[in-house]
Amino acid sequence: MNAIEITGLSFSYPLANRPALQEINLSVKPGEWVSVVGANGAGKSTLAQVIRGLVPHFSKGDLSGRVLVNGRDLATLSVGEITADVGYVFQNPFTQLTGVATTVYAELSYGLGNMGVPPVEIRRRVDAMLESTKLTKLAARNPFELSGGQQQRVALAAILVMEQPILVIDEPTSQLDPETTNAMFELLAAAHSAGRTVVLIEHKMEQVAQFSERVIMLHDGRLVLEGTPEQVFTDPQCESYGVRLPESLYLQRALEQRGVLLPDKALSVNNLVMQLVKLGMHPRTAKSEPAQDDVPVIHPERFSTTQPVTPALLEIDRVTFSYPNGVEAIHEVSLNLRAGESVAIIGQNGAGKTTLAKLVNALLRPSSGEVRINGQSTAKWTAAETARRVGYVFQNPDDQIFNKSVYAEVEYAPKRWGLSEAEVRRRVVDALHLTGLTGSQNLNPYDLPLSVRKFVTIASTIALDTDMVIFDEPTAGQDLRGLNRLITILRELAARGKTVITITHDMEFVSQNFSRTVVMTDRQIIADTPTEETFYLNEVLAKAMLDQPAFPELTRNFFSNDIGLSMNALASAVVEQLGR
Amino acid sequence: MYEPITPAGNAVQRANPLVVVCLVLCCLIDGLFIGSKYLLFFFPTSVVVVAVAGNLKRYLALLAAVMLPTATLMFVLQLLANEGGVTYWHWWIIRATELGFDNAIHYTARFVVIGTAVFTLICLVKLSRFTRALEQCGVNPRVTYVLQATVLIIPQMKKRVAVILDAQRARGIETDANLRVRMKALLPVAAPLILSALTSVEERAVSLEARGTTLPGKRTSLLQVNNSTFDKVICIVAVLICGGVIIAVQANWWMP
Repeated sequence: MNAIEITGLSFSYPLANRPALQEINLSVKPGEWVSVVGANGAGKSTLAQVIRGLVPHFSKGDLSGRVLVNGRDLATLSVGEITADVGYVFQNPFTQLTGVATTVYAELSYGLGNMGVPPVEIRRRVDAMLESTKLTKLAARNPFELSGGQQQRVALAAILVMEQPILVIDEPTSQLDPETTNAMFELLAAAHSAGRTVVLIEHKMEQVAQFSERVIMLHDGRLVLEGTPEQVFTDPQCESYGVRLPESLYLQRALEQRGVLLPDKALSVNNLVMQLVKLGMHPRTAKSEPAQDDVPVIHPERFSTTQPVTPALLEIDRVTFSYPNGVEAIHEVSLNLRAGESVAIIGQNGAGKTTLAKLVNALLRPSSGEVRINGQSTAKWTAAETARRVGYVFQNPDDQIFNKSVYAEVEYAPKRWGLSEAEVRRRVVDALHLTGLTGSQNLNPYDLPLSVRKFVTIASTIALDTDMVIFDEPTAGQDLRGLNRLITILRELAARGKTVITITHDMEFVSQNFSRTVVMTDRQIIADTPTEETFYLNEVLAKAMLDQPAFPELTRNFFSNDIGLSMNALASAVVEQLGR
Repeated sequence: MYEPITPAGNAVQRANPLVVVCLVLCCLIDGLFIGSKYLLFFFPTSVVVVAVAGNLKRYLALLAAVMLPTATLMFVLQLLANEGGVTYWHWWIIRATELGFDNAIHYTARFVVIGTAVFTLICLVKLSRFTRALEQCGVNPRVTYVLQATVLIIPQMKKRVAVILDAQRARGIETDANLRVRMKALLPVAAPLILSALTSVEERAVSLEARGTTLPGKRTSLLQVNNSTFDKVICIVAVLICGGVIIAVQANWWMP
């Protein structure tokens, strides 16, 4: 008997223009790991909700076809009854908390209590889950006082502890740093090893390729590709459905375009390395790697190789910030940015990145030190005054959007600033064009998907026409199309001489789009270097618990860091070493 | 290892929250009938009980922050708004009279009785134990969930408002200046708050479904509240005394 058996499934939301799912047929074996990929709006989350029984029991609409979970027809079961078979985790960590548990311990025990598990067993399971998810230290904390990353871990742990045989996981890591993302996948892998069926929806294709036994691709509500990760990701149609490939495949393609042909498709950098070794490449010996014991203590100034030569637009001068409860979030941070610079700030959750951005925007005031913009201290400016110089795109678009149409939303702030009608119109038209929203200008923003609403807030910020723009996690939840749009926007802003600061956990995005990268950990900047150097600073990456993007991960296996991030340089070096 | 169950403490800390609520409500009702002199008993008793429960600091902070200023304002307004009888003091058009003083004592005393009862409950009754005690008495868990969620949503909403305020300031909307500016900022703050609240209600409901809130069958909990026969006897005695006091006062058998 299959864990999940879907036959001829179609579903339409009320008032929708087209079905969210069309003629889906899918069988998932017990203990299988199936990943669902596709562009935003392809129907992935709807499929997850069907398997969980939330559609159509909870979200109404027209459903046809048959869905069996562990042999039971979902049409005959209540949403509550399905809980015994299917665990469900989704994207937003905040709303996944029960709202009534005042400790993490109580949060984890809540579901078990609803299942009628005896208290002794609840205690055993919760203790074990806290241990395996490294949440023991947070057991007595209020879940609402945790960071987003910690909340997401709690949400996943609260479902894993219920030990349902089937797990449906919808983009669990979109707001997490690489370290926490890896930890989340290890938890899922452990659950899978224990025999649980996993249905995962995810945009991070490296993890999809690494963990999945089968991948299905949805496009416009239809199942268009199905097979092993290799079969799906090497299908010529794959990218046309708006899905990013694993980075190793892009590297392989780039090498092939430069004459380095590999025998097989590489779904991981490790595989790529192995194939290059088979071709005759010599991997670097262990001697050439610094011994772990020799890792030096990292001082912030040690890696400050980027010294602005023109007057700085932004000067952060030895800034320290503590919250009213005494918790220090930023410690003695200094940073200078010139006009037109495009800088990425990376680091794990809680490193202080967003706090630093809020200090730049005067949403927070330094406890000591000073922030200067164009040489003027921001100490006496209100946040709204600072906003005329620094635009800030928040992580969650729903914190900002309130107007009835996209156009009204984008024009709101410039209009309130008292700009002329013509100038407001010019700015709005430009911002809508740049963000690809011209065709959606009359729509209600809340009728657009979350990933597109993000572009509404980006357009609102572009329309402010500030000298500096800060983006907080712009890539979260974006598909290939959204990412490409974002890259276009960043390049255009740079071309207009704007200074751009981007806070992100997407290392590939950073490695390909920023000339300078600032690494933060534990309230401080530990590296501020050209991006092509950043990802070769092994001790910095280790200390900040960051992943190496695919390119430097590949090159460090064969070459020293003078390869940088240049594909041409890498291909030439490979060809040279192979003696071709 | 973290201990999730309220550790065994003294009698007040261990007391069944339903018994505590019953006793405090009886005291409150009696206080409303008896009048100002009742405070001489009720207020010191509440201070002692809250102190035994180890929550005196919070109790005094609540009194100082909320009750003291409100009661003072109420007393002054009642004193000056009612004129009649002997004039104790006057200046220009302001006059404090016997009637004003009596009214001020009457209303302020009752307000203080209510405030004392509410703050005593806040400091003595832990919400999770209270709702668990209700569930053990057969109240539907959905009802106790709504009760808990309603109380706990206030700090969550405060946090959300702070985030939205920041988001609107970041796009150049002043929120901190004079009244007019604040009024203009109302829509940009209220609209995302309401919309996100509506969205999060749906998502929260999905989360609760995922945690088996509507799962049929028996429920268990790590939290167990003792519900002894003695507790029931105390409640019955308290209700009887409360009723007796009301009858005695109303029938003028006892005039405190």
